[in-house]
Amino acid sequence: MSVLEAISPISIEGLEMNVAGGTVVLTGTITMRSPSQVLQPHLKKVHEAALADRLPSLTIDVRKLSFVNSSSMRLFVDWTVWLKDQPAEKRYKLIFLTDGAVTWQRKSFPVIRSLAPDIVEIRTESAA
Amino acid sequence: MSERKTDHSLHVRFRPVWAYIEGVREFCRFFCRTTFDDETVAERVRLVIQELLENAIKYSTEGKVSELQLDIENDPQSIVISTVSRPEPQHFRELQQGLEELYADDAETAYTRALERAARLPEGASKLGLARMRYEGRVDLAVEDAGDGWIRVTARGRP
Repeated sequence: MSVLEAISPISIEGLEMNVAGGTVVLTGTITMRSPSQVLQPHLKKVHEAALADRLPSLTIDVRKLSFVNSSSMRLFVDWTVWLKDQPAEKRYKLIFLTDGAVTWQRKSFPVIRSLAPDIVEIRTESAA
Repeated sequence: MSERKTDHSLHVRFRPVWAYIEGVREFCRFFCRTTFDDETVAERVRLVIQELLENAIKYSTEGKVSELQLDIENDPQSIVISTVSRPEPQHFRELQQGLEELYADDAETAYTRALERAARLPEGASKLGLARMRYEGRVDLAVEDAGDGWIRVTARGRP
């Protein structure tokens, strides 16, 4: 079993995170007051697992993530910084699987991608 | 004389406690979805309410009352959402400065810059919430002194 697949599901304040078939699936909402303390360690663990598994890419399925507050939005930006801090040969492609019908996803992920176009990719597919 | 259009307004007043945000936000989202019969408008309003309330609650002085006021009018078509809260005095000046910086750029550029700042600054210092409300919520923001230490932050947009 890969390091990534060994990560246990989590459920925190309205958010569920599962790893299935090499994809990280985020479901629910992220509106916690201190996401950098509560959620970021779990995302960092996923990042480190992807590095350990030497993955060429990692897909984060956010299609069923209906809402994210701005304090939590920065977690996705932090993720791009973690990758930028890696030597080029160790980096993986961070793919966000989004639903174009969800306003915050349609508006915010292209802006996040503009910060790190070589690292971030956006794929759009309906969650229905 | 023109026919008077229907006014829809909602006023909520509550203590500045984080645990109330979700319930108020979702009720207001339902209110807007019902009023405009448009999920996209309801999503935008939900974002603006969340960010305004978070901001008001984070910076409210302890033991004081914050007020969320949501006004929706059909004539002319507009959405006005405002919070009234009583923060530490320096927060009013920081908000004024943050809005001046925000409006130095167009909405998308300002949001991009706020995300860049978020990558290198501690939480709150990036003014990400303000930039996101303007860009994603498609509202214009203003802050005013409401007297006796109270401030009003107002977001105005079109459905």
